[in-house]
Amino acid sequence: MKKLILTLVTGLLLAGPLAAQRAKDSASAVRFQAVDIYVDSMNQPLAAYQIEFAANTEAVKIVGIEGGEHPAYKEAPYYDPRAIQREQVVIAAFNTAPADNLPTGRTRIATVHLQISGDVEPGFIARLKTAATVQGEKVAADVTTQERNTND
Amino acid sequence: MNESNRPEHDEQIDAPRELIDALADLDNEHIFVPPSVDEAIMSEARRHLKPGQASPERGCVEDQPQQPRRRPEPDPSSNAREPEAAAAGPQSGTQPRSSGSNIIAWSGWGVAIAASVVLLVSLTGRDPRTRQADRTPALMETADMAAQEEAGASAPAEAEAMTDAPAAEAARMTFAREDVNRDNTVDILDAFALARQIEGAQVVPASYDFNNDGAIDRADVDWVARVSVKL
Repeated sequence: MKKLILTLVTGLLLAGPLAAQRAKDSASAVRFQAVDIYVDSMNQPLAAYQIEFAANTEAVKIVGIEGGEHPAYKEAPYYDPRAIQREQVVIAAFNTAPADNLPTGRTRIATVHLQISGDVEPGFIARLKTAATVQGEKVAADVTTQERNTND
Repeated sequence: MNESNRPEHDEQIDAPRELIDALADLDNEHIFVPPSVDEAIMSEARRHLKPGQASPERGCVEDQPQQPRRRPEPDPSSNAREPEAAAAGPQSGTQPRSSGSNIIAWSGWGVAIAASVVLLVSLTGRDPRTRQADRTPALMETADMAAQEEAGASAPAEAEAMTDAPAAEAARMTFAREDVNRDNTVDILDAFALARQIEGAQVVPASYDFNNDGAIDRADVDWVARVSVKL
């Protein structure tokens, strides 16, 4: 009987700290994720865009922003440096090249790199503020995001 | 404003008689200031000018509760001693330092008013376009001025057409300085518009030198773009 009690007490003493450590690890777990932002300007050449991007939780921190796939938007877009380490950002870019050198249809215009703390599955919102074609005329466009895991 | 718009302003000289009378009576208008406020201001002023002897003169203000708030204009030639008279009381003869500081204070007011008049005359007497170029505040004055800036020296002909009421209303609209395309929003399209103007070798208004480096170039475009994405 004494042996049984001793075993139970020892087990509890060992299991407590282990469980606490596991919970702590889960809370402080940090992972990185990239979110691609796409703009679809239909059949119009995309000469300028401005997008507001935000995550729905403060567990997400923006750690970097890079340009898109088309040569016209290869460089990183304009953004406020204060957005780094925050969960939202406004990105914008333009290109004065002729229409032939601008993307049409769906194109990746930027990628936002994120650090996510804790065991959360954040959501993202990308909202088009404006888009324009070569002469500066505003055009309708769709904005979508696509997540990709950068831990792999 | 453009010279062509002057006749419109001249017509307004024939104002209604009531307006003219009302304007003439402006100087006679007495603004009521509560006695307590007046008293507090006067006592503070006396305490400042005559340290240690402020309280004895407070009664004179209470006797005249509805004095006009506007202070009499100092006339350096004839009223130089008026402040002394205003402050005259039993102590005035024993306070030579106070009367001296009063004279200095009134002289200061005189100089300030004279400087203001000179500044006003010099500003109103200058060519409107010169004033336009000197402008640095964050807001542009009017839409027609902005149109003149964008079109350069050829704008007067267009401005002459702005004589109807809707155009006059539009002329009173103000735009942010960075709102290059005048759509009432500062966004990337303003940077884009400025970049196109610069690359197209168009006449670019001097007010678009946002970074004040003496040149309107890509740095100014970047400046507008950064403003547009500011959180």
